[in-house]
Amino acid sequence: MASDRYYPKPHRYFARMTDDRPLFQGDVIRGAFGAWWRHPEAVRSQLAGQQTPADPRFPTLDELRSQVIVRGKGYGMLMPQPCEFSEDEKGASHPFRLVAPLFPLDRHADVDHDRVRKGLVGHTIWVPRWSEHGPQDFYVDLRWITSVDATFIDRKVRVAALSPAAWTSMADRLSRYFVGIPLDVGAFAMGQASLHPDTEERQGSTP
Amino acid sequence: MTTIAGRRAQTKGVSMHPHELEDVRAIEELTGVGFSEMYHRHLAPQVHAAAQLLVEVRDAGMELDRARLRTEWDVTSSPADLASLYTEESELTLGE
Repeated sequence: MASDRYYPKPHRYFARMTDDRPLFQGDVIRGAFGAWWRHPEAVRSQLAGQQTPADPRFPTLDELRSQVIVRGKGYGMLMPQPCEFSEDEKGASHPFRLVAPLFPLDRHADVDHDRVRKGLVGHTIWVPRWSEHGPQDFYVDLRWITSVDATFIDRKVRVAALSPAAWTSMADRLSRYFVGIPLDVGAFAMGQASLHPDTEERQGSTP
Repeated sequence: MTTIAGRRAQTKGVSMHPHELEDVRAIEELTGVGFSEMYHRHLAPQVHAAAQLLVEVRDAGMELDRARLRTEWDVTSSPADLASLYTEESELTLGE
């Protein structure tokens, strides 16, 4: 049964942005993009209206390069669990950042707004507009996840960050897409909630 | 009764399996750290963070139990749709 309560309400979707907020899973980054490495034989066959050969020749590097396409409409979402790129730890020592591009959820979109908004399209994450003056709704396309250089990802080009509730939705989308099962929200909360930058320590809880 | 740390004694009465109790006693004997202290040092901060997140999820209007929510998988529906993937060209926008 479809539900309107899959994602947080739009005004609860994003966290408050501050300069000292660490980069975190789900951050929306300006200037990130996705790439798709198409097989040259598939491109040739499709353009000729033919079936792709069952046993295509493996392409050369030049052929591969000639058929890769890059898509980006301005924004991407930082994908991995935050320990993978934490700024003063693992993130400082490797240059890989996994991002998924955002695409406008308008009448030109490949997916239906209502179905994406209800969490019914498995390879997408709904992202509402993040400011009154900002762009329209977007969707993350998990089929276009791409590894980019860490130089593309910086606090200065972050335009939005997820609230704990929206982060939970994101984790659920990733679990469904990559593992095929819904998120165990209780286990996620117990194991991961303390990582979110907005989690507050309770005062006086130590013995 | 209130402790020096300002806590009032309240308990949830945890029942344990024998092997769990054995672990708790082993830590107690080897380090002097009792179960209450283990809870306060290690589990309480996690429980507090988990409660914050779950309350926020509820307040944000989300369903907590979404295991039954059906997810459909989009497939490219027609030969024309499929062919269009191979005629696409790169496009890149920086964003506003």
